[in-house]
Amino acid sequence: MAPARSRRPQRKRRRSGFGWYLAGGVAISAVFSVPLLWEIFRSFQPESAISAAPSSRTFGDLTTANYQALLSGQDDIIRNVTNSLIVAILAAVMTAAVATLAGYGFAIFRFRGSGSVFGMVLLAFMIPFQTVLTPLFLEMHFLHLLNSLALFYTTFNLPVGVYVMRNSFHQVPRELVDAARVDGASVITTLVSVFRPLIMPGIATTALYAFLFSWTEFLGALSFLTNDSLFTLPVALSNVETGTYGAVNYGLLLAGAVIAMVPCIVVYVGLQRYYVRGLVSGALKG
Amino acid sequence: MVEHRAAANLPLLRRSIALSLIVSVVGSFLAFNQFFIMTDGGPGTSTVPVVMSIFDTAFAQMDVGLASAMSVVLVLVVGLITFVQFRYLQGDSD
Repeated sequence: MAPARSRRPQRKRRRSGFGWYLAGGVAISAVFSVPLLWEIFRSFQPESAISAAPSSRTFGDLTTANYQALLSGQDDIIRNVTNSLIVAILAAVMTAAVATLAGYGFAIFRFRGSGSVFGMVLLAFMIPFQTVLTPLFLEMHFLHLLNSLALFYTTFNLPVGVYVMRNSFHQVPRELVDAARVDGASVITTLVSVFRPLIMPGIATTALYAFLFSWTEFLGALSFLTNDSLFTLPVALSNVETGTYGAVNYGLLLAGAVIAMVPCIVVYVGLQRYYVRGLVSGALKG
Repeated sequence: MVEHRAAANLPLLRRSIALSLIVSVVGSFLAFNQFFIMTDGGPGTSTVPVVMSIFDTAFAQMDVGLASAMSVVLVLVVGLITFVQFRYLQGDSD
């Protein structure tokens, strides 16, 4: 009897706790999702309705004029989107390729100084690129690599990538490696035919991380790019914001921001399964 | 009950909490985009974060040497902040 009696108030308390949990969760998620939805909604309003004082009369006027203006090419946004895509995909592919090989080396082979070399990689992880912006600028200028943005993004995504890849190689049972070696598989064959399916989540995580970083990165692109025709989307949008003669076209800006959002959402939703799994394995297995 | 659960789980989450705290503190300390886009440091210079100050010194005033020196100091300060967090979050339980 006693347990039954004590269980009831407890369950009731838990239910009211769940209500609070739900309300709090919805409130917190609203903080993040309302601006996004608001942005998407506003991007379909005509410029006059956006810049005017809020009014219920013009509120429901929806149009695709902003997108048409943006894509019709007076600001060459399509070129900037292409630039961003090229840079982000290049950075993702290069980061994934190099990080896979480096992670393979660090996880499977022991060589003289492997521990301290890996420590150096983690040290690079600890230094954010904002802090070395100017020295980096001088170096890139000296090497004539200022406009090679994909190289810069690859470099700064590699520490994270190597770390994640090393951990995903570590998770593969050691017996598999030994079995492959006994069967006479070379180092490369082992990587391609034994490890490949097992480390796909890690590769997806690394590539996705590099892609999202490169797609949204602003400071480096703003500082390093010297050629207008190479501007990435964030830089181009900040120029739209500055506007011509101080007149900002918020409609264009909103439409551009929505366009900038699309690849992130598509890639993230498409690879979410891998991404979360890869990140977790990277974060917890030290 | 909530307290019990927190007392049991929080120490286990120490590493994850430490990691996210360090990453977010350093990330906020080095914020640039939000300031550049929303206020551009204004009104006056009242909202200039440290990275923007370095950026302006290097690319607006063209004093790359001074900006590099500022960068080096910034590396040291960020390193110190991270180190202090590490020390306090490492704890003695693990």
